[in-house]
Amino acid sequence: MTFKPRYVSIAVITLACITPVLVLVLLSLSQSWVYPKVIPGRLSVSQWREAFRQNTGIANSLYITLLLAAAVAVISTTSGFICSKWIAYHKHKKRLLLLAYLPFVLSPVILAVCLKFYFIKLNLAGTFVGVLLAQLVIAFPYSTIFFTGFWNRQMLQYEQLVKTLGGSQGYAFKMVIVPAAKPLLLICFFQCFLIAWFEYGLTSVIGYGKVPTLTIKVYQFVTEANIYYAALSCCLLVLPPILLLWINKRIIFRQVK
Amino acid sequence: MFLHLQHIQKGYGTQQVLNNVTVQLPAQQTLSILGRSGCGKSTLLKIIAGIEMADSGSIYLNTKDITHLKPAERNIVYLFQEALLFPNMNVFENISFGLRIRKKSEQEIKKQVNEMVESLSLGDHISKMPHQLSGGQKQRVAFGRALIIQPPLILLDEPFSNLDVEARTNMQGLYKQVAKQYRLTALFVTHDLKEALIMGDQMSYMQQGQLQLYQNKQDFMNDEKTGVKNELVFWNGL
Amino acid sequence: MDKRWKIASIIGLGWFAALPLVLSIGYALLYSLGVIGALNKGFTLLHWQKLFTESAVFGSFAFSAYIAVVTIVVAVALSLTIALQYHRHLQRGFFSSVIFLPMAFPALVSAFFFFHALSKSGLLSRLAYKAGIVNSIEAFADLVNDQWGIGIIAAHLFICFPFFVMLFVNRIKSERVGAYLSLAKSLGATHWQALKKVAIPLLIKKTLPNILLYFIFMFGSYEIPLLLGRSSPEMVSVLAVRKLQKFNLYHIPQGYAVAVLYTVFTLGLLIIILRSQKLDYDL
Repeated sequence: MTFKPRYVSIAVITLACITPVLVLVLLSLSQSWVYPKVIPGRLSVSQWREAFRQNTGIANSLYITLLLAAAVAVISTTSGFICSKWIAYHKHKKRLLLLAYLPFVLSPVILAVCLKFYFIKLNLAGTFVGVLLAQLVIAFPYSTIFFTGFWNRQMLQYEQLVKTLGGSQGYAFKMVIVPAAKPLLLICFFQCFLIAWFEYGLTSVIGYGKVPTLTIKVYQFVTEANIYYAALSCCLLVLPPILLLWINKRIIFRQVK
Repeated sequence: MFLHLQHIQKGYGTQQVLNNVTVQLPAQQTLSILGRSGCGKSTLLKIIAGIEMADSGSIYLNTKDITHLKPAERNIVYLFQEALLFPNMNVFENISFGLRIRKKSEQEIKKQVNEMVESLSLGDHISKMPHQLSGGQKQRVAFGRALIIQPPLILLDEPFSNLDVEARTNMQGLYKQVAKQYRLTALFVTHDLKEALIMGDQMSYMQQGQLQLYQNKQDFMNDEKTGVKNELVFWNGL
Repeated sequence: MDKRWKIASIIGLGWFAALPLVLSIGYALLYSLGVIGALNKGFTLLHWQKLFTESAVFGSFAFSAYIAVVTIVVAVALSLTIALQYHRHLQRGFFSSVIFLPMAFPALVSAFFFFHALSKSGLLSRLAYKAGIVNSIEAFADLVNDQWGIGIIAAHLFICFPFFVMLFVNRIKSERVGAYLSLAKSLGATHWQALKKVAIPLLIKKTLPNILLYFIFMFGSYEIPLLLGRSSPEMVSVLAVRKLQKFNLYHIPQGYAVAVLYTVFTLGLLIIILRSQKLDYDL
């Protein structure tokens, strides 16, 4: 039986993409991985039950991360949508975009260590609100840049058309602009959600360890050499995005252009 | 005069786009504005509609000064080059848009939209979405959306330029019929000489921000710069 | 434009973009110059001098650039190949779903996995042992916490290559690369010539701003080098945070100096990217 090189390489790539997920899942179900065994041993679902029941803090971290990510996604998507319109039609569009790009491209952890002083002074360090505001500093510019492309000539003409038909700006927004932007709003929400969901460096600096998101938990378990709970936390981090991606692959195709 | 523009000036930076434009148009007449791309035709229409502001000058509609009114307060409809149908609404919803803004009852909306749809021969397409329509059908819907609110003035900015020859001819015929039926007052902008002559009751020519009005079509055709004479020479020479 | 909209936009952009930037860089700069901060006695260039003479900042910047360049070159080469060869398989089917999986991985999880994949007691080592390539843990090569950053590169590659695959697949469609390839072949080019002279240059040109932006992201990476890097050389973010978070208070001004240096470097790169290219960066 001969194998076409094309299908062999597709199989290899597929394996490379699936293996990490499998390893994480297996490790999360395991309680021992003695060298030189390839497959972790003592696999049991009870590991997951215990992790949520006992005082591991994983359940708490899950809720905090969900709440934080959802809040960041809602606020940054709406505010970015509004702000991007002003930038897109501004005569100094490029300069304003540069201003939006900078916090987005800078390393979040470096931004965080430089801003830490202010968060301490405002008593926001180590608080949920503090971490939320800090994450908005990277998510809001992202959302603004994301939507700048949406505000094209045609959108402007739609608004003008509605005005000449007797409608207000708010009416144009409600009846035409937002329906047209709905798919993009969903994608941006998803992307901003992931930015907050995945964020570690900035969260650890501003949160002082008192806002235990899932990523903080992963690092905590890694430093405690508890690879099984670390793997479990990793699964919690990874599985929801995988599910979302599987539901709507178009989100990923649309993510990059 | 129904529409009266006085000394309209508009510049962008160092470029003067409209230079002392004055227009007087009686009611129920269509003024054709012929001109090349970039001569300021669209800017003039946008200023009348209130989408852009003139640097100076006044606009009177039915003796009322509308110079500083917002677009929604002028009740002047601007038809863009593309049909610009709202992509999330079907034909019925697109046409009824202006009536909903004016908070008409559902019964009234249904009645008026159905009448409009019939007069525009769109009966079979009433539930279709914009992407299911041809270019000509989209323009009919755009027309219907504009006419249904009975605007005192309609501004048409090269509305047929994106259509093929046959659709264009059909739409020109439809416009003439509808203009008569609804007693429209309109400004019709085009860069097509033949279309300008067909569509307009009155003629004008725009060049480098200046608008020249003609007493009648003969004067328009006699003026060298409109290009009619060149066309005649060409066709006669074949 | 509506006045309220304008005000809201100015507040938003000011509060969440301009203000944090000014405050953070301002604070870092003043601290590094000795103007503010614990143990600081007034304006001095001493900390900057120490940074350039005693610390590993140049090595750190060089190492970060090396990691970013190698990762991007490999990622672009790999993903271009996949996109050009398999773009039909990427439109539908199991393969088109699977290739997105790494995009669900945060940097920290990728680092965690690759630690347990490439370390001496990791998955690869165990497979090598089973295959008889190595006969003990110590015999397996150093692939993480090593001087070449192999683990760091692998972890970055894993999460960034699907992004590049999709970038190229979308560009292949939008720039009608298939049509250009057919045209080139009709003019006598072989498949490889058509790829080399038409498709690849066109795709690289159109995606260059995105590639350069990714370089910036990778340059400032933190989580992956934190878990997979060694103490020297360190990537820039790790160096800065280490100096700022550790107990030696005298290193803090240097840490802020690193942060300022990094920001200036990033800003410079960003200006070059935005100026030289029409940034059609649809996120």
